Amino acid sequence: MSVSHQRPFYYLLIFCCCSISLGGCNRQEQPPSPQQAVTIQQIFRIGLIPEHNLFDQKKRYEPLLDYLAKRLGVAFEIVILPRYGNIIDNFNELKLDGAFLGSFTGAMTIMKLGVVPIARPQYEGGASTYFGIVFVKKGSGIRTAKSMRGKRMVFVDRATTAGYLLPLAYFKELGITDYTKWFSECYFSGTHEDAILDVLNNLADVGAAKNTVFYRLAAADKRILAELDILSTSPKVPSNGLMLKKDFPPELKKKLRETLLSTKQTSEWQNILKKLKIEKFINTSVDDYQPVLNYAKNNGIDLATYRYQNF
Amino acid sequence: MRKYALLGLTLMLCCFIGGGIYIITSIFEVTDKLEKVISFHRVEFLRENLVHHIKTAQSDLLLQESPHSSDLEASVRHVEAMESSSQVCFSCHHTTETNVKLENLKGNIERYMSLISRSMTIQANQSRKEKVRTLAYSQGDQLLNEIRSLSLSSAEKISTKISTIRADIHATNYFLIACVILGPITILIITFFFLKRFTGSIETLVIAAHELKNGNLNYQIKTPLKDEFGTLASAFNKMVDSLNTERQKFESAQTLYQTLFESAGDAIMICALEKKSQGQIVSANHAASVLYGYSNSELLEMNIFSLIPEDKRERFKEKMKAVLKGTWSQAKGQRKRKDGRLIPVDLSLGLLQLNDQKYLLSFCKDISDRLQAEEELQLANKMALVGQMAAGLAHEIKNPLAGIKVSLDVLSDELDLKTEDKDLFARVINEVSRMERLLKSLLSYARPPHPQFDLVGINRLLDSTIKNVGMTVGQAPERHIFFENDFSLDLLQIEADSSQLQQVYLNIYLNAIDAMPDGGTITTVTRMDGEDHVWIEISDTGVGLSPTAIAKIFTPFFTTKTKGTGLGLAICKRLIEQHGGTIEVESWSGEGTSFVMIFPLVQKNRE
Repeated sequence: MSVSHQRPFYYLLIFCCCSISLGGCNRQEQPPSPQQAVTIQQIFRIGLIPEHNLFDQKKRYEPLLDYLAKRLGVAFEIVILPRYGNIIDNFNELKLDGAFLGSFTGAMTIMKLGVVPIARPQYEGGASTYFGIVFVKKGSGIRTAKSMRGKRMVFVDRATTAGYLLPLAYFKELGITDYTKWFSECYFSGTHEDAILDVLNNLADVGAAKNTVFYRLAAADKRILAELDILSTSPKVPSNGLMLKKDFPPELKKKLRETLLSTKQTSEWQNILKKLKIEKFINTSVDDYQPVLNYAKNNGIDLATYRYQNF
Repeated sequence: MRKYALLGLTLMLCCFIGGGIYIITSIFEVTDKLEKVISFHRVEFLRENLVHHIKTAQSDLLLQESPHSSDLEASVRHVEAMESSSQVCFSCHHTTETNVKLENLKGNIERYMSLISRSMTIQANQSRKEKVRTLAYSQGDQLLNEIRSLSLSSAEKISTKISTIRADIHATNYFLIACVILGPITILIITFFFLKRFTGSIETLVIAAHELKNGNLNYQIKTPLKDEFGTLASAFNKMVDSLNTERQKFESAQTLYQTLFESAGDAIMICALEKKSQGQIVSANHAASVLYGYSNSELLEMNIFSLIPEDKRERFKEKMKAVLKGTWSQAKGQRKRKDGRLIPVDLSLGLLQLNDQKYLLSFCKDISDRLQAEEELQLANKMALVGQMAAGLAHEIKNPLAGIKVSLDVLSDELDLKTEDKDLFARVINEVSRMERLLKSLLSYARPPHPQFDLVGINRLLDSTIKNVGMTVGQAPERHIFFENDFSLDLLQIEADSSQLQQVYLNIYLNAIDAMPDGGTITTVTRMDGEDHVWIEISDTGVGLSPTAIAKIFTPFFTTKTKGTGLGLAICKRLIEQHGGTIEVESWSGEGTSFVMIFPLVQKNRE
């Protein structure tokens, strides 16, 4: 055992001796303070859509929710959502109280469930929106609809703006009316990360994902920028924001919004945001999702009645 | 000693602290090693746990999309549990080689998780999904193989380490046992050393103190003691020296005062003044013994009141009360000797206070001689006065008496007187002659002739006197007077007036003859009294003297004879005293009288 490891034991020994010597004093046991007596009563289940792989996504948001729980005196339980699309079902089946949702799923749950957007992140560089990208492997020669014919297409999910709406609009723009027949194989990776990696690793030929994930992965893996070409981008839509169910306790909702939007935050909070590449959270309302609704509508999708199952 | 005691205490403290630290350190080390052993087993457990979780994840993979598939949350939990298990492995300390392997394992686990995530989220045709699951499953198998490989490679190392740890623990145990045995022994040795040194020194000092207590003031600590004990021993020796000096001073003072006390001419006594033992004699000097006739031990058992005549005891008590108030009392009084005789004394009484006790300090001086001397002086003065008167009278009477006698002689011769008248004349003349002798004697007593000293042989002078007396007595042989002489042949001549001494002896012999009307023996003895005096005793076998007569025998005009003048022995005494001699008389009624005379060989006051 090294000396540095032994030192705590010596301190412990001295403390024990002092405790023994003070054993005879008449110090009364103090009742627990009211603050100590408070127990966390409520557990709120917050869903996370698979922006990254399920486990990374959970790890990314855990510190944020733990911090909020500590500040608000409640408990947040992270619930991993394996699909973007079945978020409506999951809100009911998994008894979610809220979720960090992408623009599409956010807009859809606003339309279908009446959830309320609270706040969304403003990423480093000042962007509080993202956009979708359609990409192929450099040198694949895939640029036109013709060159795409018979290739393998990887979407993220039918309930994503970047991973589905954008390629849908792009294909429409290229004159591909039925992509299922145009491509030899179409599938949904489930995560933006997997969509990017599948194209990079030649598991698919054309992919679609959101720019934030693309560049985040590109920062860690230089092959992405070196080997992938972006063919198209979508309009900017609100970044993944926190939505709360409509019957969420108003007082807590208010506090949660205030906490997220507060400019006087601790260094712990700052560190958490820094790891998430977020500058701050900004106020978000239903109106912020209007571009998504418009974009979907332009692509022939009415989110209020949209069937989001991938297959 | 303080230095060594501190050193010893420091040593023992160091032993305790060092031993304690070593024991604690050893315990920590052993605990640490045991923890390592436990951790080795824990590694096995964790590895098995990780394997279990991987296998669970593999099962979830295999069961995906089957009727028995786990729900997503459960699958996620399984994977998270697997990751947690692997994180435990990474948090431990490993060798660089193992760390590299673990880093690879970590990467593979992350990849496995990523593949599982992909298998969970992907929505594709069956073939693609199968491929994804297969890929993930293969990754899981690879992980299991890696873990197995790690386990095999570490098993031998762990076994070796456990053996080493066991050996270390045994060594530590032996050393601890040695410490537990040797530590107390060391402390005992140190303690014994200090105790021996300490108690040895203390014992030496205690012995010295006992010697001092028993009165051995010459005892010196000769054993060399060290440090503070040495200082103490030195101080003790100095103290003994000082005590010796003080004792000598005290003894000198005591001897001085004892000598003064014992050699004092006055009788000094110390008596108790406490009520219970008031008057008890506590101390008395030699003069007191002589004065009262008791031995010192007898006096110490007596009360002073027993030495006071009964009729004067109350008065003495009053004096004691006065003394208690601190007053010195001086008086004349009487004291009773052992033989019952009362003696006149000068008294001086005072208070002696020793500590809290009060004593009566009594000085007593026999003044018998002084009183007698005073009496004799008074008598001498009286006799001188009588002598002067007698001389005056004799001078005035002597010449007329001589004229009367001559006239009577002439008238007696010239007148033709009848026989009866002649006898009358003769008696008158005889009486006148007697008056002349009386006057002569009176003059001799009042103005004794100055002695003409010459060397005189006492034996010869006595012999001559005896012969003269014998001749006188020989005229009346019917009286049967016998003389016996016992003269010392060694008797030296003395300086004396032979005629005056002859007068003395003649007077004594005549008195002796007068004291033996029925005859008797007159014995004369001469001896040397020491080297410078002669001793002469003339004794008869006559009727003796009464005590009253003895007391007044040398008083002028005292006589037991009907026709004596009472001046004979008084004159004898004065003549003898003019020679520096003494005369004493002893008499036993009906048995005789003895006169003892002592003369010095040389007249020191001779002019």
